[in-house]
Amino acid sequence: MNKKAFNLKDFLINYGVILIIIILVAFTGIKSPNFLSQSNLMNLLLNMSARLVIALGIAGCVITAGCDLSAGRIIGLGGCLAGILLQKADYSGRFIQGGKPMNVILAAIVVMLVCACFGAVTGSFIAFLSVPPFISTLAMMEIVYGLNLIVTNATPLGGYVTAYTNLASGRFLMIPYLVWIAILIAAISWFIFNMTRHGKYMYAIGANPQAAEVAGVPVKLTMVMIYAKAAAFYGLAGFMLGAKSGGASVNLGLGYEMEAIAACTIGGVSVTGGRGKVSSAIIGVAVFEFLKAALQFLGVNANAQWIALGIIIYIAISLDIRKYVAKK
Amino acid sequence: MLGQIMEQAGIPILIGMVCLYFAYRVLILKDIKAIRGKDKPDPEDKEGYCRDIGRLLVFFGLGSFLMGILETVHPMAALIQTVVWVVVTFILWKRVDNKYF
Repeated sequence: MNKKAFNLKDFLINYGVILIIIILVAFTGIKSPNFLSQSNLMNLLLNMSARLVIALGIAGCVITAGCDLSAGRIIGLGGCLAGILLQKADYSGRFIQGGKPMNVILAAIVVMLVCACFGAVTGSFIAFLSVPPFISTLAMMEIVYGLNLIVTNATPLGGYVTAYTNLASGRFLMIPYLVWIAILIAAISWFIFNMTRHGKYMYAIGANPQAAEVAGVPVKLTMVMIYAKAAAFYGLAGFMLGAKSGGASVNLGLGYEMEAIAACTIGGVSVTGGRGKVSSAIIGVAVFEFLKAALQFLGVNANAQWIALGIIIYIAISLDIRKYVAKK
Repeated sequence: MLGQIMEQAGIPILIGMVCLYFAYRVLILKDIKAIRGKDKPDPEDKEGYCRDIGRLLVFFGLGSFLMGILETVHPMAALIQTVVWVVVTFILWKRVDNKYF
């Protein structure tokens, strides 16, 4: 048997960031027992749920060596759209006067479909017009932001039906519905990544797009589908965030794309493409959320927390690029 | 006043700055990898490609600034301008790509 010898250096490069954060979490747990209390863990799970859905969407783009900077704005659009569809009929500030609120599940589907259309357009820009992902998604970010401003008139939405807000407060087997939604999306993503042809194409494009094209992979169609699927997930995340906060505005989800890309990278989704699993996104999001909470519990200045998060992102991406260079 | 402008037009201004930064890298530093990534091959006429793509990035960046200004005056006009600007830029991008590859 040819067992691979344990290499401490490789281990630290692969799991160093996660290790540091686990130590930080353990330290915080000892220093402040409330940190590991059931209510705080449940709160963390709730915070993680929407972010996991975003990270799973972005993971698909990152695996193809792309990125999606429009995620935050599409989340805002999803949240506002869900808000418009699910305001109480008798709410004085109702966006659409008259009419009845939509069924919650139907509203979620409508939000996902609308957002998927924007993702499909972004994917088409990338696939058919050869525009780099960061430029295409920046453009879509602008378009969606402008559209959202016009649709909502920059007015915050509120007065949601109870069935919608219950998604955040209601529980099944002691676990909030939002967490169940995130688990369902993670399971669907796992199935897509591992059991479908689309998933295999995704990894092939990320590893080497030219080779994938020569091998008969429908690169353009796959790219469109990846970005459409990602945008549908962002829409759902916006829907979930709206339920959690009981309101939405155009600024909902602002900056979440950076957090999601960072979480994916920390978890092990390679920014150079071709590598990454659903578990990577889950680990990344969990680590990132625990880190944020730990910094809060340790009483770190709110502004300084951004610096700490920035350093973690920098280290994670540097290590990832180092792995890529070493592999080459 | 400045805070209000940044709140309304911060995103387009930021995007404009990003585009101009990349235009600088392509036009002045001739850094094609900044746009095409590390794995894709360079075109034969590197100078020409840098010039054309750089100009497009400047065009797109200026469009973004224009959106920022329009947004404070008339959001609908800003949206229409952005959509038209994006479509024109990306079609031109495809043309440049076809020309050099």
